[in-house]
Amino acid sequence: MPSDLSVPAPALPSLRLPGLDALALALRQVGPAALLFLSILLVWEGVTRAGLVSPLILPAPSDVAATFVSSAPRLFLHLGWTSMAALGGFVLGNTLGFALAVVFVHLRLARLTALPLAMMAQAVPIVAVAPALLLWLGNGVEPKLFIASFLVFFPMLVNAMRGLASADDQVAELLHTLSADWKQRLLIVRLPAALPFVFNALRLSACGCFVASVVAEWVASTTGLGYVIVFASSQYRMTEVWCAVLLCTAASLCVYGLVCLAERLAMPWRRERPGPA
Amino acid sequence: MIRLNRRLLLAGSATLALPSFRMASAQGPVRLTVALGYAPNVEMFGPLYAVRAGFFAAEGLTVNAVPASTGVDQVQMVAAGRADIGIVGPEQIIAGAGRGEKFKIFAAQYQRSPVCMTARKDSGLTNPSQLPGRPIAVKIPAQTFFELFMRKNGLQPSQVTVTPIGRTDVATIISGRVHAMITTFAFNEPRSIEMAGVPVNLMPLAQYGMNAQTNSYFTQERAFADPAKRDVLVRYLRAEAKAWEEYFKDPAAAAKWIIDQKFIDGLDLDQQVFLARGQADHMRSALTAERGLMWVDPAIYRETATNLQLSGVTSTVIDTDSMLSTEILERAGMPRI
Repeated sequence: MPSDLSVPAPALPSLRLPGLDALALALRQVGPAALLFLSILLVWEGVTRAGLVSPLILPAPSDVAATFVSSAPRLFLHLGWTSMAALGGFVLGNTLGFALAVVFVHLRLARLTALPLAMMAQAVPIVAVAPALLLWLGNGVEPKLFIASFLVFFPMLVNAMRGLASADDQVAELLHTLSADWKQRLLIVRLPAALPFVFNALRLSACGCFVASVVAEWVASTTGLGYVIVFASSQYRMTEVWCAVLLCTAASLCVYGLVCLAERLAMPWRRERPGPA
Repeated sequence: MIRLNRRLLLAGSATLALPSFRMASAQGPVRLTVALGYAPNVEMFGPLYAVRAGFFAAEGLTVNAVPASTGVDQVQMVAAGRADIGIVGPEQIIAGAGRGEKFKIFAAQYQRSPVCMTARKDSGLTNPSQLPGRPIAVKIPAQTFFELFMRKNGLQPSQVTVTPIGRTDVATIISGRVHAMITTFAFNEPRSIEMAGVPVNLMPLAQYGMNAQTNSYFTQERAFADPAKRDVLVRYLRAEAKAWEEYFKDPAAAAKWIIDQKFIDGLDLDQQVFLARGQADHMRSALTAERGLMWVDPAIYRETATNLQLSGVTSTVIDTDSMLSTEILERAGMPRI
């Protein structure tokens, strides 16, 4: 009678690693979007390769990629110019918008006199007055910086005013009884209350500043992605146009991501728990 | 002005080619979409008048004339099948051909290019040899043409100070920040600048080795290959020729008609009369007197194609001889003017 030599297999230690869990979570979160993106790329490639769309209008993604590889140094140089104006405008416009919001919240007279002017300025079609800006500010980075600042300034002004005014009245009253001056009330009460509104404005302007910079370059420039788009499209170099468009989008999203990261760091109490898988 | 204005991308729906030269019904009129070379002013008198006077209808055509404006690119519209006929500068058609599209050019409005460099009279600039050291405004899409213009005249682009400007910017030259601007259309910007109190000198590019038959009429090559569609083109051109005959009787009256018809708001009668008279001169040549209006000259197209290659717009000299056809002009019996 054959003896039963089989030995129960020892329980294997779990191969699950914390890193794998994180990867699985990340895949679950970005997987559907990535799949959709890849599907769009495949359909796009198929449609263009089949000749259903003229390459003068929509080039194949693979051709766009090839142009990106061959023109990368030049494209990144132009991205540098665009980024300089966009980020400069982002900082200047938001700083000015926030500073004015502080002034308007504290000084009723300033609010009554200057706020309507600020609102009117926002309504000016900036592209229409761009030639005049070029005459005043020259053809360097200055007019681009001005336009980018101009377009991000107002969202910050409005949001920051609302945020600063939303401070808890009881806390403000408490500080008042403690003889806190306006600077202390601003730093301790108003500023924390305004942070969510400020980051809303920053998120808006993260993309807006790049669009503004490209529009400014579009009007008259020999540098930047806006110039690349105008010039390349005038010669039907559509792959180059798409490279510039995608590069600008990527840069905008990077700044947007940095703003979101800064928001999480600045307001840890507002971190949301991950949603259901 | 070398009007290289164009849209970046047509809307998604516009990208898919539609059947061209659509028959409205078995016996009904043929529907044609024409992408005009400019806004509906007297420059586009031919197609506009032929529509309103019923010349197209008499030929059994229903013509939809789409005015050019920011966001309307004639080459892209024809390539996408959104327009059956495009009217535009040959530079754009050849540039499109250089990217692989196949077009056929069958007529041309201008016999010599109205594109020029416009200089302030008080700058003393009358020819390119005086350009070194001067501040010059260059429209962004015209950068390569400006560089070629300089080289063709034995100069280097670095010998001038360039100020990039937008497509419609005349404020820079009016303000005196620059001595000249390029490119301009002989009947448009110079008049606007002079109306602002700044007299100008013109340097026509055609005189400096950069001639072109501006406002060339073109269609897709595969459409042109169809005899039935060529018949439609003959009918189209015959109707438009009648309109141009009316124009040549009295260009000033043609300008007034355009104003009265209110195609667009804001046209100035003086400007339109100036344009109409100047344009009449550019539409006539020894060739139009001998062969007929809107004739195409292969030598001028070869010159344009060579210039595009020299300026780097195309990688090779595009063969324009195979892109041209005089068949439609011959069959339409164009008036000799």
